Amino acid sequence: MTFELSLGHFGMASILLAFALTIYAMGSGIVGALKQDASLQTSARFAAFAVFLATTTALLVMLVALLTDDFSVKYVAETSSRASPTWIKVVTLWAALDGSLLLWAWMQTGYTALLALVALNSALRPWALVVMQGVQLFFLAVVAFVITPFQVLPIPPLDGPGPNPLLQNHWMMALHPILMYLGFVGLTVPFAYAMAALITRRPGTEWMQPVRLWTLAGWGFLALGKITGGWWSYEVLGWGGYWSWDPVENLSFVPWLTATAFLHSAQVQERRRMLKAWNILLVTLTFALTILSTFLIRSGVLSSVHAFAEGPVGPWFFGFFILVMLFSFGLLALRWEQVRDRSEFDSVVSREGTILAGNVLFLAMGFVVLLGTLFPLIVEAVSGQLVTIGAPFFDRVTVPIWLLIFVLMGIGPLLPWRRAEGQTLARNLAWMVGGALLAGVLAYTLGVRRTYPLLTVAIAAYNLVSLGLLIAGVVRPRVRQGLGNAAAVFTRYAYENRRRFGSMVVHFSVVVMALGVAGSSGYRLDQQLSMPIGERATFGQYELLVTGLFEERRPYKVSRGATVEVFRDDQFVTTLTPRINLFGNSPQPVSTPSVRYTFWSDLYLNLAGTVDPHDPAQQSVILRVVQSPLVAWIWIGAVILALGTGYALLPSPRREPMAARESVPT
Amino acid sequence: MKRPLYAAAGVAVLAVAGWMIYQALYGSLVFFILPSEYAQNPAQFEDRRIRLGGIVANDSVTFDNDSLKLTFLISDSLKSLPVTHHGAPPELFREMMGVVVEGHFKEGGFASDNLLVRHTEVYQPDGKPIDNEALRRALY
Amino acid sequence: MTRLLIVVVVTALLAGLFWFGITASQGRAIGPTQLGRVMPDFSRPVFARYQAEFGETLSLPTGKPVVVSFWASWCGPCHAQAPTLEAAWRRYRDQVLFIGVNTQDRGNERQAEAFLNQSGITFPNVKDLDNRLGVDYGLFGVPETFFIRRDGTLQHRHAGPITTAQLSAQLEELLQ
Repeated sequence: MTFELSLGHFGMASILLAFALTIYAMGSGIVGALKQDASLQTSARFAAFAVFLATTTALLVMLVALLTDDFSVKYVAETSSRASPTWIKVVTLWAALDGSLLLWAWMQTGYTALLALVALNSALRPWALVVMQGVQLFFLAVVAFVITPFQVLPIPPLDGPGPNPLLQNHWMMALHPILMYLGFVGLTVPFAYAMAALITRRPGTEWMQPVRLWTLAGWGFLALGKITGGWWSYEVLGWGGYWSWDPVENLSFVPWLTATAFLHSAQVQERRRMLKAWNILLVTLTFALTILSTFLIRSGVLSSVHAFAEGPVGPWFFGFFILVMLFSFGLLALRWEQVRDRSEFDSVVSREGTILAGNVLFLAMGFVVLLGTLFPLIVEAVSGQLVTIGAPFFDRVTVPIWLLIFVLMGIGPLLPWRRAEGQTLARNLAWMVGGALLAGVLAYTLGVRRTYPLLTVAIAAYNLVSLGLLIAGVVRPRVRQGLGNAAAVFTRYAYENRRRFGSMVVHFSVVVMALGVAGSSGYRLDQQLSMPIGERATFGQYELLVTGLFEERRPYKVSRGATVEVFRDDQFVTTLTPRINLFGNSPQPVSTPSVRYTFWSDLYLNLAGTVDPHDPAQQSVILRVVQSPLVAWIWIGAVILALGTGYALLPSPRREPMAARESVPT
Repeated sequence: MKRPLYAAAGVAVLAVAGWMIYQALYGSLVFFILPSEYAQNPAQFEDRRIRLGGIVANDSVTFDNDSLKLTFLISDSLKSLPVTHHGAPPELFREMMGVVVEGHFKEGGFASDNLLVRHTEVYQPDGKPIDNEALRRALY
Repeated sequence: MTRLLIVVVVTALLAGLFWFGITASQGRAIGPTQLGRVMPDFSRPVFARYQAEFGETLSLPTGKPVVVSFWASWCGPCHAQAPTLEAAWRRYRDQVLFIGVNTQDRGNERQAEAFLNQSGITFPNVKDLDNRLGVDYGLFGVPETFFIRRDGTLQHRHAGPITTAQLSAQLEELLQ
């Protein structure tokens, strides 16, 4: 039997090399840290670069294998197909379970290498790197020994089945998983530093300085990942919604909640040297929840519509989760005495007070979402009864918590540190509550009667007034000091205080998204209509007319759909073409809705039933028609969030910031 | 000084929250049952949201293209129940295949607002009863 | 120490719950089918090279046992098992009809023909162009082989490549 060198062999070798180098890096890192040996530590850092080179090679090998239709590589044979267009072949790299773990492992090694490159030297750095490499070791082991995507098939098939049709249907598939993994891996860095702080018994503020940017970036990527996931659901799944409290959605939402809590309480530690134990706990919890969610999602333990194929990785992630729990929380328990705070808050009515209250709320929301998600498993374990927990539970418990958070978001940034001064506070609150009442009454008279949207509008106005007061508090004293007019002063302030301004922008984006959610959940119209071809049908304020059926053929897919003309008040508005796609080798058709996006509301058409342009007997089509008010603002808000986060990550300019006495301290 | 006050307030909040969560959980539990389980004790499953799993009985499907009303019989080894659903069945919906419907029992039948096809082949053999336990597991 | 104990206890409880979840989900994986279903009839176009002997379209025969084997050109194990099926066909062709169904191969006509060339199969093969037959049969994937009795009921279905021993055992039972 001749031995032919295949791409698969290169890939396998690269991954094994990365694995071996990681063991070396960990070993030399640990010894170097214990012995304070600088050369060993340097060696460990260079090993981190080498690992990244090795995994990059592996990733490129897989990419080349996919692009050249090399079906001797197991992963390509299982997931790709000759007829797929190039962009889909690229996306196939992470479209299936195995490839996505390879991508995650690569990102993990990338972050470790970046950390080795840019992190400032300190007693914490070597240990943080060791922890990062420990996580990396796990992922590399799973890729190298459990899922073996590079395995070489002795008899390569002629073609492959192509990726899951749901994942081929939309370009968002290219973006959403990458953002999620950038988020998860990004949040591993603060975790690594927190562990380093515990190991080196330096649990003070020291560990938080290096991680501020990593935390913000990781949090931002995760937020965008979740929102793009919602948009992908909206455009692909055909029910006109973006969030369904499905176990898979919930499980990656919970670590984001704890990360958000950490993002805020980190400021308290930075400013007032408080909440030290709390912060370590939060960041550890975030990482543990990330691993837990990955375990539960990829193991088939919870039933979900986002069914990932069950693979052999479940028990491995289970084991890693237990290891992480015991190691990180165990270490925290052992070092607790050195970590816990001994100082107390001056007053609850203060910046730190509201941040802590907000933290409690975020954690409460995370807890109930996790509890609801795991509850069917608990019930089955205890009584054997099979149950599901539906959306009504989650809506009922999370909405009140969210509204409280929304209220706190308005008042928190206005409060000073330590203790709020009564008069200023009362005055600000008066403006804000006034704004809320005004907006509420206005909305009510305009026809907004449902509770949740009405409350959202009121609290949104309250938040906008709060932002206005914040800006006024910054601008007014500077204008009074003759530093320029309002616009100039404001621009200068925004330019120099990037973190502060960025956070204002992000809070503003939350208001925008909240309005989008309230409109689209409160006033949604959803109907299935049987529409005879050539006859107008009414839906809400629109009239729809199916003018005909069509079929489009491409090498890798066949699309069949209906052309629908939309009218309002007898005026032609647009043409929509909902369709059903049949991808190359899969028997399951996937419907692609056709959406008309406007700022005010979306009109969403999805085909149900069958469509056969060649069948003369087909006289009607069945359409699911959905009208969602304000839903586009969720995606617009996401863009604003990205801009705000990005701006806050920019380094501050070197010039001296304007000095000014301000009526509201920043 | 302030500590006991905060502690008491905290306990009170936790108690109220716990109670509300408990109520919400038990009120939102959607049982997953087979037709024969309903038949054994119908009263237990009325007036609440239920997920009913079973096989679509042979020759039992009707779909009215105009009213979009779908009816069929859902069965396990012992019992069949009539189901009505508003809307076109999904592409993979077939007779003799597993299906799960979610909704309420109404007037002896089941009114479904959510229909999920399950890829399972636990067919009804001649004479031999289906293993209902296997059916439950396959459909959940 | 107490705190460490709390950590261990909580972790153990979670571990127990999730371990239960893992075993329960494995039990939930699709189990072996219950058999005896009357398999749906079909009428599908026959590949050109078999039309002389078997006609333009083929359906399930009445009164004769049938082996229906689903394959796709891109499926490696289908290649691997083709000789096994061919050998069994040559031995049993007077008593059992073998029908190969080419499914999940849309747009791959060339590759499907190449598959038939390479494997040298002489039992008839039909085209399931819209994949509907696969859906009607509840196909899990390819290869999958169905053993159907004389009366049209399903005796056994085998997912994945089949060995000579498994094939012979089912054929013997079909002929009883």
